[in-house]
Amino acid sequence: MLKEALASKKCLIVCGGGGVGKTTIAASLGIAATRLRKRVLVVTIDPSKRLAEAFGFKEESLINGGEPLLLSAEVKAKLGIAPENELSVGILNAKYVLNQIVEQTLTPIQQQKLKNTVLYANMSNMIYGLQEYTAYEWVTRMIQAGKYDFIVLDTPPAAHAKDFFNVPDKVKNLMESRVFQIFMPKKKNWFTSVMNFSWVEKLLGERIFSESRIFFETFATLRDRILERCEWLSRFFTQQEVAVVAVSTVEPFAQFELQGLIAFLKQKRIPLQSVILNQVEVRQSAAQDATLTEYQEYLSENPVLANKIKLLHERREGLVERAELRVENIKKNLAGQEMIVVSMTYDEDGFEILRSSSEQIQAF
Amino acid sequence: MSENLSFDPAPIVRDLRRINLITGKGGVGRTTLAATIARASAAQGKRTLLAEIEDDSGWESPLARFFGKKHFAGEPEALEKNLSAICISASSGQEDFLNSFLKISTLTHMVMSNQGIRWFLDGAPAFREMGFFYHLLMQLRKDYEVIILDLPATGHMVGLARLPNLLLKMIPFGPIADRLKEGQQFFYDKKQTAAWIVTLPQTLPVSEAIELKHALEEEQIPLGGFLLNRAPFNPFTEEEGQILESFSLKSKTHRLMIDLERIRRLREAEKRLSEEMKDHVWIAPETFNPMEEADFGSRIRKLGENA
Repeated sequence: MLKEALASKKCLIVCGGGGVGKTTIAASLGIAATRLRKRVLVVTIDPSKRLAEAFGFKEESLINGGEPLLLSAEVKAKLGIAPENELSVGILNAKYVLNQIVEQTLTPIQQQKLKNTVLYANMSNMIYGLQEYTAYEWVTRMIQAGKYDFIVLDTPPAAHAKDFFNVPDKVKNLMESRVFQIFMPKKKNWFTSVMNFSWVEKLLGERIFSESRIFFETFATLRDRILERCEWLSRFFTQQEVAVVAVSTVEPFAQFELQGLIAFLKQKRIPLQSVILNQVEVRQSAAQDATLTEYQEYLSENPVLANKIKLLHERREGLVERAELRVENIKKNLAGQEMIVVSMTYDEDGFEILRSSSEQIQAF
Repeated sequence: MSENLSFDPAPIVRDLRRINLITGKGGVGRTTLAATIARASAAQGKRTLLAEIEDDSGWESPLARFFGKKHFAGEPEALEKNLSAICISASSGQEDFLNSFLKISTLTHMVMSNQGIRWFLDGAPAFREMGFFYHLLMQLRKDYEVIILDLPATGHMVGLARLPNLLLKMIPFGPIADRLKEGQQFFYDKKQTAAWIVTLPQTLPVSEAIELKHALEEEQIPLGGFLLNRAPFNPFTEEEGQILESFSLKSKTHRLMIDLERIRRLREAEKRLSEEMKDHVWIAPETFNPMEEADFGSRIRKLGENA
C-alpha cells in the first residue's frame, strides 16, 4: 500500500513520462508524507516556477540557492500539516552541484584551468550522464546528511528515468574505461603507447582537443569519489526502504511510456509500489444545472445557444467516456498493481491543485 | 481569403518551409503533430522526410509506432508514397564524418569500433551533439522538398541551435568548422527553415512556449509559428461567450463551468500567442474518436481562417 510506504520507507522515487504532472505528484506525495512524518524532503529536477509559487517560495531563492527550503508555518497549516512536522523542498540545479564538486575536490589551480574552458562554461550539460550524476551526488548528500526521515525524489521524464537508474553502471564503466586511464596521473600502459591521439588532434583542432583533455584529466582525479558514490547508490536503490511510484496520464502516448518504464523496472528488479493515473477527466453531475434558474430561463428563450451548449456537453461526455474506458483498460492490463486515480482539476491556483491531489492520494 | 479556394486538405502544408523543426515540452503532443504534418505533406505530393533524434534508452520509438514500426533506421526508409523516415543518431553522424575525412571506410570502421574511441566520443562533451548535427546535415543536403524533424525536448532544440556558434569558437578552422558553417546556413535561413512550437491551451504551457520562442529568437532560428494542440470544442461566438460568463457559475464541479473554463483558457492562449506572433498561430483540435484522429491533419487550422 502506498500509504504504508509513505509512513515507513526512507525514499520514494517518482518516475513518469513528460507532461504527466510528475512534479505536482511528487510534491503531493511529500505533503501526504509530512502529515504522517517529522522531516520530509521533496527533490525535483525540473526548475518548476509553479511549484515554487504554490509553496509560497520566491523562485530565485529556491533555484539559485541550490539548498532545500523549509515550508512556512502558514503554508503548512493550510495544507493540514502538523506544526511540529517539517517539509522541505529542493530544486536540483546541476550547474550548482557540479560547481560544488569541483570546488570541494580540486586544487584552486585545477579549478581555474577547468573553469576557463569554453566546454565547462557552456557545455557541461552536454556531457553524457553528467546531469544524472549530479542528481545522484546531491541526493546521496541529502540522504547521508541524515536530516530527513523521508525523501521524495522526482526524476527526469520516462526514457531518461532509465538513464537515471543506469547512472551507477554507466559512470562506473566510463571511469574504468581506458580513455580515462590514459588521463590518469602517472598511469601509463600499453594502450597509451599504442594509441596515438595526434590524428584526433589534427582532426578536431588543437583547442577542443586540449579542452577535452582537461575534462578527462579532471574527472580522472575524481574517479575514486565518483565510483564510491555510485556503488553506494546502487546498493541504496535495491534496498527495501526505497519504493518507486510511476505517474502517467491515460493518454495513449503516456501509456506507451508507462509500459516501457514498467518493463524496465522489472528487468532491473526495482519493485514498483504504485501507479498513479493523473489528470483523469471525471464526470460532472448534470443535477446542478437545474438549480441555475436564471440561466435555464435564458436558455429556454435562446434555442440556438441552448443547442450549442447541448453539443458542448455531448462532446465532453465523449471525452469523459473515453477516459473511463482507458482507465478500465489500464486496470485490466495491470491487474494486481496498486493504482491511484487523480482527477483532472481546472483550478488555476497551484496551491489548490497540490491540496486536491495530495488529498486524493491520501484518501486512497 | 481562403473561403473562395477549393477545399484544402491540410492548409498547414502551405506554410511549411523546407526544414521544419517541431519542438515543445514533453506531453504536448509534439510527436503526433510531427507525424500528422509529415503525412499531410506527403499526401500533397511533396517528397517528405520525417526525422527523429535517437533516444539512447533503446525503448521503442513512439514516432515509429505511428507507422507500425519499432524504430527507424539510420538511413531513410520509405514508409508511404512520398514519405520516408530516418532516425538521426550520434554514432551515424560521427562515422559519416570520419568517412568523409579519412576517405577509406574500412579505416573509419576500424577507428569507430575501437572501444577507447567509442568511450571518448560518448563521454567527451558535445561530441554526441556534433554527431547528431552532422548526421542531420547529411539529410539536409539531400533533395527532399519537406523535412520534418521531431525534436525530443525543449532543451535539446536550444542546445542544437546554439551548438554551431559555440563550437566555432573552439574550432574556427578545418573540416569540422566547414560543416558547422554549412549547417548554420541551413538553420538560420528563414527562406528554408522554420521552428514550430507545440503547446497546449493552458497557462503554464503557453508561458513555456513563449519562453522557448524567445530563446530561439536569441539563437536566430527562424520561427514558423505556434501549434496550439488539443484545443477544446468552442461553438460560441464572442458575444455568446460573454453572455455565458455573466451567469454566475461558481461551483467547480458544475459541468458547464468546466466546459466554459476550458474555452476561457483556449481564448486566453489564442490571445497570448497571437500577441507574440500575429497570424502565426495554428489550432489543432482535441479529437474524440478514431474518425477524427484519422482526419487530424486537415483539422489543423490557422487561427482566424475559417474551416
